[in-house]
Amino acid sequence: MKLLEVTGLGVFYGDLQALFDIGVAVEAGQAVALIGANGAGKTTFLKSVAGLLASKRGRIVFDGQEIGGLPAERVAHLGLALVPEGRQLFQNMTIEENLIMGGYTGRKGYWTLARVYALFPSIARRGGEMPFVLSGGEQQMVAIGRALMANPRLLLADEISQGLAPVVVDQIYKAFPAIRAEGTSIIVVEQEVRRAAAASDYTYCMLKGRVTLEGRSNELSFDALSRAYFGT
Amino acid sequence: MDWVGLIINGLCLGGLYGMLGVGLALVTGVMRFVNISHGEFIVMAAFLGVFASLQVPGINPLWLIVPVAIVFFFVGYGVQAVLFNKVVTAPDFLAPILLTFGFSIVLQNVMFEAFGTNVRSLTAGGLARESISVGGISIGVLPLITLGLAILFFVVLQLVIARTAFGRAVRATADNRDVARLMGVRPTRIFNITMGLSLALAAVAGMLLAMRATFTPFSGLSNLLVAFEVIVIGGFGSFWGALLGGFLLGLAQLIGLHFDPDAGIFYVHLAFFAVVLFRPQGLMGIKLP
Amino acid sequence: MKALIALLVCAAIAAAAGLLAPVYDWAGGLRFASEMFLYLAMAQMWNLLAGYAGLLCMGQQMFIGLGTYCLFYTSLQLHVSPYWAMPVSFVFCGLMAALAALFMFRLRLVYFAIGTWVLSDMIASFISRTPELGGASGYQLSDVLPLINFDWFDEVIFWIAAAIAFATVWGAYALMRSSVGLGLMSIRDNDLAASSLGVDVWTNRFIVFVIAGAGCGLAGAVYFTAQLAMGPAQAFDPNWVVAMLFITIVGGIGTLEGPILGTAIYFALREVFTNVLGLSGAWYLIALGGAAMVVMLYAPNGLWPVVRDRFNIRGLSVRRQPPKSLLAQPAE
Repeated sequence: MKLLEVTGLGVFYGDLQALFDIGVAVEAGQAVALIGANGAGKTTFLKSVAGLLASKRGRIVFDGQEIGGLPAERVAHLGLALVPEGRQLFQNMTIEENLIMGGYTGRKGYWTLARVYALFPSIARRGGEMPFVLSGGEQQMVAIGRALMANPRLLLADEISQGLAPVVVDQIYKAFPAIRAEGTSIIVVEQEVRRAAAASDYTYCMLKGRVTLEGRSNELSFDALSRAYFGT
Repeated sequence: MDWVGLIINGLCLGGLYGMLGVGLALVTGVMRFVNISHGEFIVMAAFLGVFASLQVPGINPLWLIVPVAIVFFFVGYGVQAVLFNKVVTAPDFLAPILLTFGFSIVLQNVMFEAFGTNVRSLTAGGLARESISVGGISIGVLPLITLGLAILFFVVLQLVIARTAFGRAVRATADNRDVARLMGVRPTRIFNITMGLSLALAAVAGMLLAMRATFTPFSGLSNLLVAFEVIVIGGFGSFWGALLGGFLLGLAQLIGLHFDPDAGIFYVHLAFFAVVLFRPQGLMGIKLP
Repeated sequence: MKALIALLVCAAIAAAAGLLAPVYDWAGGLRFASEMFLYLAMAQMWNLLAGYAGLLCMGQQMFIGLGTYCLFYTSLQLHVSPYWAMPVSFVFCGLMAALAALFMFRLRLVYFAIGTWVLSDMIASFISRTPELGGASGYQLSDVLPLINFDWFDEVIFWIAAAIAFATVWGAYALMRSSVGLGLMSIRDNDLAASSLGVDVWTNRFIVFVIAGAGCGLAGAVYFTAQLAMGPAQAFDPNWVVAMLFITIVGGIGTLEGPILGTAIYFALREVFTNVLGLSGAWYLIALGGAAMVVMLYAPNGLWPVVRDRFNIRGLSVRRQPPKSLLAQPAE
């Protein structure tokens, strides 16, 4: 049984339809990449799976349970965590409080505060500081750590390389194997095609609200990806 | 001219004003709207206190503060759940202001129909007349208790917000409602509890105000204006700023009244405008939104 | 063009009513109509502020009070007929609004709203305690009564009130159709974006605030002239804003027809509650507040948009239409 199965998903912003008939599946233990240019609908997809967007059609089945009609706060309790685009740390609390906030659902599992600090040593001794003093890369690590604190079965990572230097992004992606090893599957949304392919087993490409290509990450040719990405 | 006594009494009144402000500040900070009917709840709590006091004549009204506050916690929870939650998510900033304004008109006039225009007050009995002597200065006991209660509530509120899981959830919701939801926080529950706390504080302030001075069904307006002025000059988002703001206004009020006894809350308003003109970022230096 | 014709027709009807009134002794009707016109004018001003300039002024009663006091003071001190004092009121309130804007504009949104309320409370309180300004009992026009021709008093007040009402509706329409109006509407929707486009937010808001202050001051002055007496409690009564707010919200904020509809509903409700049902003023206010709440919850744009969209009426819409030549071309 698949961990996440999305079929025929259509999402609306008012009268405007943003996603058309999306079909995505994630097996337990997999890492799936979702690539596409700006405005393709990747963030809209993640937000609707996470339960932040109410206006939708189609089915979203997570761990055998239909979650399409559930609000985000309920979905979080079921073991699905979203690392939002742009980090969006809580500015009125410290790094450590942000991480603790991630554990609000009380879900038990491998990830604790200590283990999150062990995963990202750069932020280990900075728990008492406020988010705005950290660099972009460090904030991103906190955001991921915050999501891990909920011990999710599925982690949705929205554009974690955005605005960061490649060296820093490498560091963050190095944490992925450890995350997967503890039983968390991942959907990673990326604009950078090569990095996404390298970090995942399966890739979906989106354009203008539709899935234009899917396949095993190591089997997709660069040409096919370009066409699906740009729509040429 | 008993300056020291005046200052101390000013601080005690200021503590009360601070409490008025912080109740309103909770709502503005977390839910981003100003509850214009806040003043009416203060007055309703005073009426409840008078009513309850008549049922149990032997007990000093001070003991009634906690029960009344608890009642108003549930009132706040209910009003938020049934009414205010419908406008909290509105993108239009006018909607909550206008809804709560309409509500305040309704509440004032319902109270008027129910209770008439007679002025009421709560007597704290003998306690109102007692004073203690500190270093040769005579200070009223009731004002001191008021100040003590104000500081106590501030400290407790501050601890709850800063140290508890609930407090963290409140801060998260105030900062970024959607991301808080991603953590599993239910915003409506947070709003309901926050409004409950806000009105509980309003109730305490209302009871204490009733012990100091008389009130009518239309006293809500001046209480709202004071509460509002406290949070503006204290600086948006700062509870201690609200307490300091309260102190400043309390002092201004009593010093003004000393020279001009019939002024009502004129000098509070004057102090408010002085701060707005010369230090628009508020006492704690936080920029007004 | 259609709007202009509609307005002229209404003007003609009102003119006819005014001329026929002394013939049929419609004095009571004239007074009622005058009151309606004045409330409409004030509501249009408040609508300009809140619905178009994004300025929620909960203290607008301050200008009604200031206008009234200016008129009574001028008329009594200079011993002139109150009609001559009316333009003085208008100008005085405009100046006061300009002055108030200088520091009130530092406050944004709801802080501005309540700040103006505070200011109004202060002014009322100060006047109340100052015997030189009439103290708590205010003024009566008794000294200048001989200067007024009472045969025509109701009619003249009616004419003035009607003129003010038409001026505000027509003026608001003209303002909104001008470039100032376009600027205002962009400010209302997103003032940050507007200012980045070069719209001078402060100046546009300032213009509207001054006009609204002057307009409300004049309307208030005329209202109390008709009463021949006033006091600080009535002139600075926060219930003025309750009325303006109710009329604007229930009618339709940000539309020009809204306040017209709202005024009709306001007075209809008042007549029903006080004359038909015989209930006290408090019940009427409860109904007003309750109605405003219901509208806010279920029809936040007011009742006029519901009517307009249902029957597709353009009315006094200030929405710009693209030129007919563009509409005829096929898209892209």
